[in-house]
Amino acid sequence: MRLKIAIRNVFRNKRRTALSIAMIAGGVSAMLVFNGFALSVLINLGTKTIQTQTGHLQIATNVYWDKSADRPKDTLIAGAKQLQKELHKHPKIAFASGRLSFFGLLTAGDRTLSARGVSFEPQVEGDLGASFKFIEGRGFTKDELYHVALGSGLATRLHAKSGDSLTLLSHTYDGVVNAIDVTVTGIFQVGIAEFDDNNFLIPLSAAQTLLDTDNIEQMIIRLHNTSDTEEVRGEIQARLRGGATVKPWTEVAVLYQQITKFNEVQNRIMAFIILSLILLGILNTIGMSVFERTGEIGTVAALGENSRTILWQFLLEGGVLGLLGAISGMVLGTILIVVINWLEIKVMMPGASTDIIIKIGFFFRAFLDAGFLAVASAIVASFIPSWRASQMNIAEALRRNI
Amino acid sequence: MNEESQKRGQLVVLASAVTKSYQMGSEFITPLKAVDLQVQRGEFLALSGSSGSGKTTFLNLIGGIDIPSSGEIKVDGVPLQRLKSDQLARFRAEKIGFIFQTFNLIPTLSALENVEYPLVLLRMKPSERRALAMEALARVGLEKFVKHRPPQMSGGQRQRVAIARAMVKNPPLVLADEPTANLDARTACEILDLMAKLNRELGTTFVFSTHDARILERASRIFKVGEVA
Ligand SMILES: Nc1ncnc2c1ncn2[C@@H]1O[C@H](COP(=O)(O)OP(=O)(O)O)[C@@H](O)[C@H]1O
Ligand SMILES: [Mg+2]
Repeated sequence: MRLKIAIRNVFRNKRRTALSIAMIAGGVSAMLVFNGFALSVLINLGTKTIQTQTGHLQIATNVYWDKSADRPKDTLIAGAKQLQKELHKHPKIAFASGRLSFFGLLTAGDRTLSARGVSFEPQVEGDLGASFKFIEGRGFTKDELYHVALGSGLATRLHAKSGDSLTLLSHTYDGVVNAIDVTVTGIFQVGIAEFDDNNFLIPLSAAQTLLDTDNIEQMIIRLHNTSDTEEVRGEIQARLRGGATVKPWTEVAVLYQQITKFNEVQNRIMAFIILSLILLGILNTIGMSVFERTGEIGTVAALGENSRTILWQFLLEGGVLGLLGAISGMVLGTILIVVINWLEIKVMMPGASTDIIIKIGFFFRAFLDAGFLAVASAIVASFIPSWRASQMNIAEALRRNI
Repeated sequence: MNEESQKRGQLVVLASAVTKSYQMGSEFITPLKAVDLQVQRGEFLALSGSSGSGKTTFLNLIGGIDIPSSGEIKVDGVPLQRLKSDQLARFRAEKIGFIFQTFNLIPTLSALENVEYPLVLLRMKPSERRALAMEALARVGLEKFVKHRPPQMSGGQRQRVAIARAMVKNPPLVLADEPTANLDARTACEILDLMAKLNRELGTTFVFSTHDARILERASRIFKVGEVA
């Protein structure tokens, strides 16, 4: 009966109800679009980070992680082949690949640039085509040795293209200067400007020759499913001898962490603005409703409603309004997301090296959060006018019936 | 009559030295000054008095809607001055049927739902309260208007629904504040006939206010409000 009364009252003043439902729906749909976009960007960035830089898990020595080594060579992991073999037995691991990273000078004709080399193992990772987007040429074949793939920004600055021959100069872990000639196999674009401007890829064995070592800096582990990260991390850590630690990608990816934090702050501000709107809208709607129904409140109080049930009745109306707004907002949000995705709008994201097409995802969590927030804030906002209704002087309220 | 009600005695209303004053700025208005009233079970009592004489104020005090400035009121054995606001609400829900000059039906509810409403407050099961509400509507001759909403009904019909709403829980006391003031003469007569009939047949005690001389004739007793003693 009470719910029936609440629903009928909500539809009593159709225009006012439509207005406040529209207000809540606007807020909820804005939140869904915004969150969906932010989360999509984040997931996209996360996937890219995993594929091109961190893998899902990274094993390295403790002195590497805490940067406490006296000499760079002390940070390296020995016996990498054996470790790799063991890791490859794990059913949830797609592959494990040794990494060395170093700074070197790349010379193309009369241009020389300092850049960061990152090693890959084409033997286990394939030609990198699945992880990196090549805008020219390709990655490495299994038996290519003295080859590099350049980041797009780096290639531009070097005026280099695939097939070009470059000289790569660096120094070994013992401090001896060493150089090799390498051929450019292709030019890649990760989409993160910082990465594309400064990095080149090189097969692990070439890097080991250049740096004169058989060891690796990190063992990068890629899983079949990102959701297994924590579980596999635990298993590996348990099996590692002391002196080495395995870390998940979320801990290592600095940019990802920063953007996640930034997103959280942004989401909170957004939610706050939208909640304020909902609060004001509902406050007004229920406030007007209480004011107009003063006589009716007097009547039901005379019939024997106590202040608590009157309070509940109006809170229920606020809740019904909030729920209707939330549902409309979800429908509207869904339509907006579908339309925006269909329009394929291109934008330049901060820190990106190329335009991306806006792609907004549907996230159950975002729907749940937005819906909950809308209903909760509607009820909270109803509280003030509902309280006023419940505390009315009955005799005076009754005199308002005409 | 059962033992319980015999213990409570034949007095439904016992008001002694009831005073109600309102503060208006620095001045006090005292519509009720030391009023005494006793209402026997089964009476059909009219409160008479001109407009502004304090009829509504008095009915509100008897019905536990308002509290007196001084004096004591007992209704069906319950001393109202001892009740807190929640207990007063419960007292109203259990003991009082209200009929208003402006009908005061809930516009969003059908006639049947309006009559059911007091039973919701008594936490009665839906099927039970529906049956009782149907019965009450039949008693006021509106069995065909069950699904109608108040805006679709005439004044007389609305007041009948209101009477059914007041009677549905079979309260010991029905208070009606100028129940016919918003009706034309013929309908007013019909409404009064209906109330008198229910009073006769069910033995329900009625206290109603009016300033209409023709209506006063029908009362079993007249109590003048606002007369200087
Ligand atoms: N809440 C109030 N504040 C001040 N004066 C009031 C209030 N309620 C009633 N009165 C005054 O009390 C007197 C009696 O009012 P009322 O009981 O409504 O009379 P009646 O119902 O006989 O017309 C009137 O003078 C009215 O103005
Ligand atoms: Mg009056």
